[in-house]
Amino acid sequence: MNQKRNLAAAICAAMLIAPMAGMAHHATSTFYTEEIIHVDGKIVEVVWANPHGVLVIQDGGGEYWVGEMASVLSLAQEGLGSADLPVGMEIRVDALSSRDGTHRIHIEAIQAGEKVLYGEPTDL
Amino acid sequence: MFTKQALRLAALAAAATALAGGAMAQERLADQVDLDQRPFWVQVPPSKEVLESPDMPRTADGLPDIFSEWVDHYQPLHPRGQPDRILRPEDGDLILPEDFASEEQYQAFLDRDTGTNPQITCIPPGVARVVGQPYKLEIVRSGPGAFLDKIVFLHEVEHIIRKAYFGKPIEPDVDLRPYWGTSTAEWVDASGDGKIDMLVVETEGFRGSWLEQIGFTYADGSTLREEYWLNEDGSILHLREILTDPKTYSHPIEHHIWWERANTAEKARFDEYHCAIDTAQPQRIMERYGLATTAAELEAKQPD
Repeated sequence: MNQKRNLAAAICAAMLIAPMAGMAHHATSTFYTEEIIHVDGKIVEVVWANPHGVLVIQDGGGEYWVGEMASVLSLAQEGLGSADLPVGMEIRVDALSSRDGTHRIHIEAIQAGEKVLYGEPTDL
Repeated sequence: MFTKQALRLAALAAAATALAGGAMAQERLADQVDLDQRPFWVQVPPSKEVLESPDMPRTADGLPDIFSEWVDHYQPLHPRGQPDRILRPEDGDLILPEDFASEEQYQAFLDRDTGTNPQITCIPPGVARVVGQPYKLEIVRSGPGAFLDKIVFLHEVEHIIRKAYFGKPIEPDVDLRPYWGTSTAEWVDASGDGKIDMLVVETEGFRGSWLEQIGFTYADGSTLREEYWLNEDGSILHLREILTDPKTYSHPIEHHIWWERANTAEKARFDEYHCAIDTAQPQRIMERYGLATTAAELEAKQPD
């Protein structure tokens, strides 16, 4: 019984911890909801630095979105480099929406067409 | 050799330990999950079996060989050990008034200003918090020719160098070293078998700073005890931190974190850390693109 409880706790911990892997200087809950949204658009700027990588995306309506990512060292550990994200590339990101309704998002997954570049994209 | 999945599961095991009520003895999880054919479990403080393991690598002078690059598997640090993303007052009883030394301290936490987080201006985190960062650590020690006998922690994040001295500690210049206090190192035989099995670092003289991302802080006069030990075969480095801050908290805050010994060139690589304020404060980038950075600005931009 205790073993089952511990396993359940581990699974619970997985659900709680996985989204914050790679966060460096603040918690996602400070700025973001737990709601995942999709943003489709082209990359207009990549800032490859710590504490976070940042992608600026322009969606089909011309709106800009500023997407925070994990630290670039963590991204590199996941196999993502800045060269994988050229300006102009069309992508879809899964992201946590901002608490205040602004276009600040926290990127959880990136795909270019059918190719998954980062994370585990979800169907909404 | 660890797979990524195995390491993730191991991290979950450690997290489950914390969630179960502090870093206490726990059941083996290996019976339920595939841990890459390598059972991983954590007992904090460590058992005699771990500390007296004959397979623990030792230096030529008989110390546990912690002198290596270590790959992070951090988790946040706060009074109840929960993941920080669920630590908001509206989320229930996960953070409680009784965790704080007074109602005023609890209220101060509720009223916290995240804009005072030193890291959003690329200022390094303090000593207790520095291990709660997803970056590598290297531990080295002074050679026989050094004037002072010491352990040196080389943190990849912000390129932090931290020193803990054996014997009489070196008093830092408090004007120049605001977060780091005075650290004294000691090799300890925790199991009592006559062999050194743990490094203990005691730190005092802190000036208060942020303790964790969510806005937990520590006050002037806090003390920190760190206990480092290896697992049975030396592939994992464990750290138990105990922060005592009676001005802010009603109980010592314990934190367990572990690192994997870097065993490939890629893992052992030292990566440069460049802190860019624009990415620490994404609103600066939003302003460049004419985006509203707050709800009030957003409302003001809405067409009538």
